[in-house]
Amino acid sequence: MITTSEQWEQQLIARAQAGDTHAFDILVSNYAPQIYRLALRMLGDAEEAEEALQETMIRAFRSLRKFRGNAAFGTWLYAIASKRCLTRRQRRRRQPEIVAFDDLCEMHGSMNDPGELVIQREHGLSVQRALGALSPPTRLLMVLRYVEGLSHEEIAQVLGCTVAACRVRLCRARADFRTLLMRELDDGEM
Amino acid sequence: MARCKQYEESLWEAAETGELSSELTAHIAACPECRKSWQALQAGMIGFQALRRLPDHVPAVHLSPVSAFPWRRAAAFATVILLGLLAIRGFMGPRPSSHTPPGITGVPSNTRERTPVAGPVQPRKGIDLPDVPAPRITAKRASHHRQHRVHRIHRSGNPRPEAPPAVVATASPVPVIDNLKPLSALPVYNLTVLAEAPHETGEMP
Repeated sequence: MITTSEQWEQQLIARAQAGDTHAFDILVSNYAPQIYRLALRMLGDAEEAEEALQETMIRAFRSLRKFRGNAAFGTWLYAIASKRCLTRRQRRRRQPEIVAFDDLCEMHGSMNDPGELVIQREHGLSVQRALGALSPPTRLLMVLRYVEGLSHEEIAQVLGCTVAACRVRLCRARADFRTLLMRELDDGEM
Repeated sequence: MARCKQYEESLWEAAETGELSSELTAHIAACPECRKSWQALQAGMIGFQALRRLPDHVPAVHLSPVSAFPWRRAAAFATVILLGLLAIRGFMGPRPSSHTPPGITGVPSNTRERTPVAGPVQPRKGIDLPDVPAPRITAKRASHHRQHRVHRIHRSGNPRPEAPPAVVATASPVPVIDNLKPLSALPVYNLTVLAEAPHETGEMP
């Protein structure tokens, strides 16, 4: 019997809730790249992102029985990861911001046009710097919306607020980000 | 300027979708600030596209039983239990002595200072004391034992007694051997005879 991916995921969740760690491993392997990307863009450091990923998965495993399926499993994982990232940012508040360029500098092969690759890399670095200058909650909003591509409803579920509040926050975040990005681009041209 | 504010959100939406309306196009052409903003947003969208790329190396997630165990919660639980036990222990008062020295008999050790009464050892209610003889303790050791107990009571917060309680000690301090003979009364053996004579008969002097 052929099942859709959602049904398959629900079966995996049910098995994981019953204590099947193998099913949880399969679930985790599907979402680990996205969660790692979120942590990398939020924390700006590969090691910290890896630790945040581990923490997220462990927390998810511990509280898997509480998952009722009101939101998608991925959204639920994003919510846990977001909290972990914000907590980690809060802990190292006094430390200077680190911006990860490694993965951007290693970009290769996916595009045929080398000129386009260079432009994308340069703009990627500027965006990453501008994101790094934002406050962590604002950065989280921007990353969830424009890197992870979540809808307003999904972001509201991740942050635990209403959709209207999410729209208002996002509007402010965009304004802040645009100012910083324009400054970054001006600095790059100089 | 107010008009530029009005176009802010439209510019973002246009940058996201990549479609620019004719009205917006006209405004961008006329306003240098909005043009600059539009260019920045376009660059930002390209940059986000680069950031959206999944990293080549994603670390493996290790979910071992040790890491999955809620250590922090377990530590908090253990602390609460320990504090509870300590609180219960604190309400119970000072601990009674584990054994009663001979000669100081008849009274539980935690009340001995107040009412020293002679008599047989009475086991407390609900506790089955083992029927084993108490160890022999000399008077010196009994004195040390008493001092130690007084000190402990003082440290626990109870008032120090005015004077150490009188000990009704009946135990002899040192075992006395009454039938000791002087050295001169002991028999003298001839060692040379003993060495020469083989123990053929098996008799020993």
